[in-house]
Amino acid sequence: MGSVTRRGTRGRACATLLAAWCGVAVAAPATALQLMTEELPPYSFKSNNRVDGLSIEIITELFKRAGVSFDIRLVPLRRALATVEAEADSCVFPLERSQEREARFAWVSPLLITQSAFYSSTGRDLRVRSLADARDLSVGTYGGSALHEYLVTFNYSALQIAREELLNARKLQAGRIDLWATDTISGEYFARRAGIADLREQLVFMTTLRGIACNPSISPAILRSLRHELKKMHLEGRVTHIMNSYRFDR
Amino acid sequence: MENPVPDSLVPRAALALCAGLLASLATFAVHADMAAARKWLDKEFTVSTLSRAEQLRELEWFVNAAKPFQGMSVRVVSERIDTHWYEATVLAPAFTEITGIKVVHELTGEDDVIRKIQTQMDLGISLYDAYINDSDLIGTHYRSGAVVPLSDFMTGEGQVVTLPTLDIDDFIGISFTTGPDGKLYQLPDQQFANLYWYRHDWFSRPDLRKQFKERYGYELGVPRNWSAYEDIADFFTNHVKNLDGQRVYGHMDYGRKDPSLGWRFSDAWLSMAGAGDKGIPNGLPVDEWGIRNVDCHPVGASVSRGGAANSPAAIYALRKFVEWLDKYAPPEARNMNFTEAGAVPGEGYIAQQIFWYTAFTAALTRPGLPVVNKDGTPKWRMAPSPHGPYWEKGMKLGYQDAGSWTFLKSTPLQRRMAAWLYAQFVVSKTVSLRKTDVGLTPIRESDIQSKYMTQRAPHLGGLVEFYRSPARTLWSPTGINVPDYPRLSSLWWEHVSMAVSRQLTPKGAMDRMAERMDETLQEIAAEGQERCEPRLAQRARPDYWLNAPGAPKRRLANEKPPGETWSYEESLKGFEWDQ
Repeated sequence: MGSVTRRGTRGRACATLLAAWCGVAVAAPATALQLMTEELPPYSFKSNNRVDGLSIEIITELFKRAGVSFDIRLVPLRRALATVEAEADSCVFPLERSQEREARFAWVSPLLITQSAFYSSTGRDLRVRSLADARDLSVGTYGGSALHEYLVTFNYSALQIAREELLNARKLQAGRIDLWATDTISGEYFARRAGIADLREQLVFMTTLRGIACNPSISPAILRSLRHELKKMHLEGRVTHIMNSYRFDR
Repeated sequence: MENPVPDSLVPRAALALCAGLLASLATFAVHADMAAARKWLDKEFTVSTLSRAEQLRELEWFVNAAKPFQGMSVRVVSERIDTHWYEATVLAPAFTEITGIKVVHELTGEDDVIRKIQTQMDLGISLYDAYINDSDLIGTHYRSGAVVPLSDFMTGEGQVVTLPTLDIDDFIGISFTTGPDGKLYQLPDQQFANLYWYRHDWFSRPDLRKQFKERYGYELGVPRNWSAYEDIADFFTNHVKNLDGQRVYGHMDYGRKDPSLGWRFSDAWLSMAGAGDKGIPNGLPVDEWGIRNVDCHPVGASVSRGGAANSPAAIYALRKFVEWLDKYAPPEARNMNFTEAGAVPGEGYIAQQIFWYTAFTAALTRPGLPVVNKDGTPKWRMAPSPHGPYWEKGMKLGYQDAGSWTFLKSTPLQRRMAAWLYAQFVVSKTVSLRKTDVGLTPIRESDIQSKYMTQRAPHLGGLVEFYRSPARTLWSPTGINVPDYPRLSSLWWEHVSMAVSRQLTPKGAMDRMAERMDETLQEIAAEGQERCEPRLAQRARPDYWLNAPGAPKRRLANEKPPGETWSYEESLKGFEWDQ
């Protein structure tokens, strides 16, 4: 998937120019920052041999505002994490900012604030009011996700791991799992793709802050600039606006 | 009703199902009555310092006070210790059935709670309607202007939803959550302390006692000072080595570069060594972080500005941490974090641990563990923490965590009121003794002094004795000197890890950290705070401050005085040290 890339539309010269416009002193790296993300629609996906999606749009606007040039590659998450730990001027997004990961990276966050929920099909007579109510039910999760790891720590006995969220949506539709645990944006997206009309949200049980996690050697000036611009984007409502543009009932 | 959640966070799929939701809400409303209250009294809240009639009256108040909010859904977040699991999975559903207010109580890591409350304060996005946030942030909250002073709320716009039988004076941690202005900013939800933990059964064995006395010249017992702790660590790790066929160790700790490595220090390690000043709860003018405070303004952490973060006592504290981890702990401890290390004493091969959170009491009294007798009593005990050579009477001696209900001004009033009802429910006298029974993190004097806790005491390894003693005030959370806990706390793990990995000497690490702390204080001041912002003092020659009375203290010629121990029974009296 390394061939599918997106390059920041402004090059270094342009980045420098933008920094000058904004009065922000950004020490651009010798090369563009290497950004990695996994393919996870609707956050990031291939479209006409380029990457697109919700988090890609936020990243693109953020880096333009900060005047930092970048390249984006779609890479499996584990490889992305290993690369960022090993290579300077590289970052992975959107990554849950957990305690275990805190010390390994330099962070720009929150890039996204997402919520995770248990979904059932409306045909099932289920009532989930807390994490405990779902613990003995068969719950479909996306393998390797932070959400899966979260439920594992609560001793969920019947987690069913899928390699794709679309499979979870189909399993729910076929009655092969009681619940599907996923974030609300992915839930809507894949339910629609699977043609599920009766998705029922049982419980939104987790709010997650996701950020850009960079190799700790990243320039402090770039970090400051990205953090500053991201905060402005949140306060101006730009992040919310972009997120809303990926909801289906807009 | 206002919607505090940004559109992006509203699950639109739910809107399509509004008919179903309304049906569910109707169900809540039907159950929101005294029948539900009686059901929960019968099945769950069977122990209480209130009579059943008093419990019913208290729950009836909740039923009535909640009526304007029935059908509302509120969202709160806390860290994920046993107490909060009980709240999220038992008390939240109970509250919903009794009041008709739906509660989603999220559980996550403490660092995530802090990031989320900071995000809400920074961005004004109402992520949660209430937070159970450690009172370590009292200095942050008091200065930020973003937190609702509960004293004002309870007598003002929140008066109609404030429980008449809340009994604020009954909370043992109120002083931790009160600002310098005398106002209450947070309401304690659970508390636990950091004490000394040891294998009472091993320390009672005549053969081991004889060997110890022959080698070190004094009795094997609860260490009163760090010298004795070090000797006992050496005894078990390097001389006893094997007990009952297994390798044993005289010390347990953790050293992985991780935010929890910072808690190991910011949770009062320096105060145990004796780095700060006398004065309860945190030491004045220099607290256990090493920050000097003048008229409520932090003026510096480095010795050159009158602080103690790189004082000889602080360097000694870090040096001993690293040395003991290397010499006496199991080899794997260096790569563990707080969570991983917490379970290790329960595995039965650790003789003592100087820095042990009583939040692990429930986990270490589970039947079947190698550290629990067949009759359910523990083989271990908790006792007062030993102190380092710089410690003097009148100083704090350890840490106490007070996870406390915190409400932000950015949360719309109606949602804040509904969440305040839930907060009061989980600390109400109707449920608090049962919650204490489950999580062992007491918050009320009435619960601690109850007959029920007297009956439980033999099974809890000294927890009840500690909380009944007046000396518990020597164990306190981070205090008012720390003006921005989220920003300053990361400095601890960033710099301590450099000493653990030997990138820097303990002195080099503390010198660098003190300098960074001063710089961060200056940044906080530049950004501005509502009150009591940092005002850095002019640098002076370190000798100026080291020769002045109190902290920072000069280096002691002998940092290892003779070891002193006492019996467990004597140590219990030690819990009553005059202050």
